[in-house]
Formats: sequence, C-alpha cells, structure tokens
Amino acid sequence: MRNKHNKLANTFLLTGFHPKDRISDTYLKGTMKLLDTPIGKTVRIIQYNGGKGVRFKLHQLGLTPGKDIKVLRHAPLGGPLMIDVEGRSLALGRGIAARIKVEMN
Amino acid sequence: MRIALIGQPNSGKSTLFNQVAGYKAETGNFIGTTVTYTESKVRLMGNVIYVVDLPGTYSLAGSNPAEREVIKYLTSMEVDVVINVLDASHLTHGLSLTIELLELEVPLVIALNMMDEADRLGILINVNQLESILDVPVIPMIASKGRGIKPLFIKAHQIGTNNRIPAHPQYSGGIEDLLTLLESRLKEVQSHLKTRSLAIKLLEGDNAIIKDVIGQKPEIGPDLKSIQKAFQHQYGKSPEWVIEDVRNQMAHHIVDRVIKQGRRRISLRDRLDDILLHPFWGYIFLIAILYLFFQLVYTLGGLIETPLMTLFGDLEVWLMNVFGGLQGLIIQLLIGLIQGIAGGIAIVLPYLVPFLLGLGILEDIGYLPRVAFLMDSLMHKLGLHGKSIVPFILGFGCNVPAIMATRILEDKRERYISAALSTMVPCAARLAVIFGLVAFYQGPIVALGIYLFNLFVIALTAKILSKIVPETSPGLILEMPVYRIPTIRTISNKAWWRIREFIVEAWPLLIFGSVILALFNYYNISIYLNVLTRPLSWLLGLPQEVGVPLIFGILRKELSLVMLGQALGTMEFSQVLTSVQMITYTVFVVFYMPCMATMVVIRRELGRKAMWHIAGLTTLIATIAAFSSRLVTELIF
Repeated sequence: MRNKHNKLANTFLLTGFHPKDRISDTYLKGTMKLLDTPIGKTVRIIQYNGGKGVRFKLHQLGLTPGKDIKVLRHAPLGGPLMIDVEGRSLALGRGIAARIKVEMN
Repeated sequence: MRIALIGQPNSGKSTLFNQVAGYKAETGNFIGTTVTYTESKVRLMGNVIYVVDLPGTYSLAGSNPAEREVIKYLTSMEVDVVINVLDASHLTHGLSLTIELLELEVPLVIALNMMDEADRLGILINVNQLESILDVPVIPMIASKGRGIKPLFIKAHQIGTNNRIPAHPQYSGGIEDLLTLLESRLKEVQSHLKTRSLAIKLLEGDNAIIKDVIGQKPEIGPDLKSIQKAFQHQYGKSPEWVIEDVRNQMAHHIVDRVIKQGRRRISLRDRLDDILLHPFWGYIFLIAILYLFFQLVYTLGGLIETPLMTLFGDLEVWLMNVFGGLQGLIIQLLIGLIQGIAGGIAIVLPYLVPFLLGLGILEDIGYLPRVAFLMDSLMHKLGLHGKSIVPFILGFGCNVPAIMATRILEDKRERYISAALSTMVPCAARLAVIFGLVAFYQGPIVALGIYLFNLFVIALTAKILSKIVPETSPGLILEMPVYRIPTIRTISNKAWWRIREFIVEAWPLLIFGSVILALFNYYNISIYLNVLTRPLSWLLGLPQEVGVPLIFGILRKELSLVMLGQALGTMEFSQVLTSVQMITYTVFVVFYMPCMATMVVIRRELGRKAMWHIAGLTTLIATIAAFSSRLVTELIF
C-alpha cells in the first residue's frame, strides 16, 4: 500500500535532483558579502559560512543557496538589514549578513 | 477526538485557534519542558472535540528541543488528526513543513489560510491540484474573517475518524535506496515514529533518537555511520542537508504546478514600512507609538485604580470602626486579607488588562518585530537585542507586565537578562517613593538625578550581565510579518488567558503574604525584623526603624513610604531624616528586590531559580548603589 502510485514522487522524479551542485572556489571570485550589497539590488545567495545553528536557522527561513534576495533597507547606526526573499521580509543582523556570500545578477 | 494545529510562525495558526477556542482554554507545558501549548474544548456538530494549538515551528528538526517535543506529541496516541495551517501567500516556504508532516505519516488536513492575502498578491492557487499532489484534503480559508473554519473542522473530524494516513513523499532513487537499507535494520526497534520516519530522523542526525535507537539495538550505530558516509560520498553533503534540499525542491515543484501568478495590487500596507522603518521618521513614530501605549495604559489604569483603592480604604476604615480600632488578631488578619486582595485588583484591573490588550494589538499588527529592527543596534551596545526595549518601557508603569512582555524574546538568556533589568526600572509605586521623599524634600532636580542614576546602573548591570551570561544567539534573524488588522477575538482571548494566569497563580500568593505580614505585625515580630536588618541600615547610615518598611515594601513598593511614616512616628520626614538618608533610602528602595507580585510572575515565566537569582542580584545592586550614593551625597551636602 505504501508503494502505490504517488504523484508527489512522480513530480520529483521527473524533475530530478541534482546532487552535484557544489560550488567550486573559482566560481566565488565575483562574489561579495550580503552586508555590502547596495539597497534596492537583487542578488543571489551563493553560500554561507558559520556554525551549524546559524546555517540551519537560515535554511529554515528559506535563505538557501540559489535564492534571489533583495536588500530593502538598512537600520541606522549599524543596525540590521531588511531583505526580501520570495515576497517575505526578513531582518538579519550585520554579523550574519557578513557571512552570507552573494553574487549580482 | 483531539485535533492538533501546527504551522509556521505568522501562518495565522493562533488566529484560527482563537476563532474556535472558548474562554476556558488551558495553557500547559509538555512534561519536563518549557514548551507550551494551548488546548480548548470545541463543540462540533454535537460532538465535543479538543483542539490543541502547538507552538509555531518552521520545521520538525529533532535537533531543536521544542520541535522534538512537537514531533513526539504529534505521533503520540493522543492526537487523532493534525491540521497544518499554511499561509497561502507564502506557499513555497510553508510546504517544507507540510512535507515533513507527510513523512510522519499521521492523519493530516491542510488549512490553506490567508486566501485574501494571496488574492491581493495576485497568487492564484489550484486547490484541487494541490490536494491531489499532496494526497491530503486542502481547505481554503481566511481565519481572520472566520471563513472556511467550519468546513475545515468537519473535514478534520472525518479524516480523524477514518484515521486516513496520506502517502509519504518519495525521494529520488539513491536516497530511497539508502533509506530502505536503513529501514531494514530497524525492524525490531520500538519507537513512537513509523519505521520510515524513524530512518529519516536517524539520517538527519537527531541525537535523542539516535541515542534511543542505539540503546535498543547497539549494532545500528556502525550501520548508521556507514550509511551517513555513503550519503556524504554520493552527494557531497551530510544527509540532513541533502534531505533538507530535497524538501525545498519538492516544495518548489509543487508550487510551480499549482500557482499562477497574476497581477499584484500595491496597497498602503506595502508602503507602511517606508515610513515606520525610516531612519528618522521610524524613530519618531516608535517613540510616539510607545508613548501613546504607555500613556493609554497608565492613564486608564489611574482612572480605575484611584476609586478602587478609595473603596478598599473605606472598607478598612469601616472594619476598624466595627472592631473598635486596630487591636485584636482578627481585625489585623482581615486588614491583611483586604490589602492582599486590593493589591491584586490594583495590579490586574488597572494595568494588566489595558496592557495585555495593547500588547496583543501591537503583536498582532506586526509592529513588535519592527521595534526589534529599529532598536537592535542600540540594544546591542548593552549586549541585548532590539526587542528587549519593550519590557523596559513597560517597567516604568508596573514590573508585572514588563516580566510578561519578556515572552516576546525567544532566547532564554535574553529573557533572563531583560527580566532582571526591567525589575530595576522604577515602577509607578516606586515613583511615589521618589516623589514623596526626594522630589518633595530635596526638589525635582535631585529626583531627576535619581532617575538618571537608575538608568546608569541599569546600563552598567546590562553590560556586566551580558559578559557573565555569554551570548549564545548568533544575531538577529527575524521574520517581519506583513501588517495585519488583528481580530478582536484573538486579542481578547489572548489577554484573558494571561490575566487568568495571574489571578490563579500570583494573586493567592499575594493575599497569603499579606496575611503573614499582618501576623508579624500583631505578634510584634517587627522589632526583631529591625534587628535582623540592622547590618544593612547601619551600612547605609539609616535609622534601624527602616527595617520594617523595607520588608513590607517587598509586598508592595509604596508601603516602603507609607510604613516609613508609621515606623518613624511622623510623616514629616525632614524632622527625622537627613537629606543624605532620604536619598540613600530612596536609592535602595528603587533597586532592591522586586515586589512579591513581580517575583511570582518571574517564577511563573522563568522558573524558581531565576526568581531567587534576580531577588539576590537586585538586593546586592541596591546595597552597592545606595552605599555609593551615600558616600557621594555626604560629600555634596
């Protein structure tokens, strides 16, 4: 019964999962930190550095490599950044924004 | 039948719960944890069902203790059907949790909430197709307007009765092979999870589950290690990331198939952040909003409190007349009882009710995360995060709501520090002492000086505490929900449940303490109390009679002024106290030990240990602050 035809599985098998999406280091040359991205620009996430906890939290909030994000505003006096990911707004502290590598589209 | 509601933060899950829950809803903890849930009885077509509101969660990773409890609960025998609340306007993100729920293999119904919001954004969702892809009933709804709620619960009831378990998601070939391999080893393992979800959790590196399984069957340890290695080898990532990626991709593919993007309507709400988070106007609005909130709560509070306290005062006078004075045990006990009851009413009705309603509104509109955004950099200089500003500001009115407001902070360390600091903020009762003693006799400038000194000590304590209790959170990562108009029902329900907690737990203790102090008074234990506190009063250069008012001040802070008059035999304080003594006494009163109502709330919110910590810490700070102000003022005066 478990193995009955499953549409979800089907969707997935058709489109396929590409496991070898690791990014080579040379590819990282044209990148910058999310922290340095000008306001109003849309960039794509390449990767992030940091402990497992931070990475997992970012993952949970949908900030996964390959996603486009737009920097909406910076809070004054070295405050956090506000960004847009798929129509949701997130606030990120500068420490975290400095660890996220992005590329300009 | 028991129905559990689960959804990501800001999915409107609590709004849905509040629409169906009655005033008797109970808040509880999962045994041995601080993870809370709310449960309510609901009548549905003649049946009584239980609806449980679980904490908002982005995922079901077992590495997070709160999420682990949620998994355990969902897969236990207690829950008959799970309702997954999804925000239709942000479907991709929400579906990753849905996929995890499908993996748990429990009866499931999806509440596709915020259809109005999706419509505004021009998102057209093919509900039938979503239903058939997920193999789960999907009910479109708008919880804030009460639409679609009945069909949702009827469907949930039906699914729960039939115990219909949806097909679990299927991964791509390689992953499935490894999963099947692991599943075959788990045959005799006992778990609340189905074998397949157990295998997934093991692969994801859920430590508690791994420990449990290895405890039952030690030979699985090496097997698991080699399968995890195979993952790493094949995909270049550890299994938890691979699985997480797969879930995200699945969510994307589903959304691609069921959503059509139409034209999005730009409304005022989209522009609101441009003003409210503006580098200049944002702060002007922040100050204005918080000032208005504070004013509203405390003006309203004052309006209610004054006649209430007069009423209780009259009652005391009447009783004294009946009993012919204050002599006699019974009258003393009665007065103590009345003071305890009055104390509770004076805190609950005037301050807690408007405060909790106001906080609920700010919370549900979505303004609190904005406060965090604006204040983050300033609070960072004190070693705290932006949201901590809210309890501080509230503390100026009453410390009880301030402690309750620390709930908006997710991090335990943050909550502890904010609670400790906000008890040092002089509340309205201590304002009375500052005004009655210092401003009246020494002039307003000196009173202002005490306020500034207070802020300085709080900032210093914040600095020291944030050094001692090390920072654990990596920095701000916060979702900023769309501004929404809150529903009256959600706000009044939330406020009522919190007020009920105070009435049931804190108030009886306040009354009890009040009666005990009346007994002390009757048996003249006061005199011994003065001896007991003599080292302190000697250190601060105060007459030994201040012992009793200071101890009674723990019950209610304004008593430290009222009873000072009784203890010294005159309300003309300038005849018996020097300027230095008045200032020293006031500084001590401002900082020392929170009042009993506050302590009870600290115990409730943060635990008994935190309560004693904070009581000890503030008394220490009060002693140091009062002693140093004694030294300084002796030089000046």
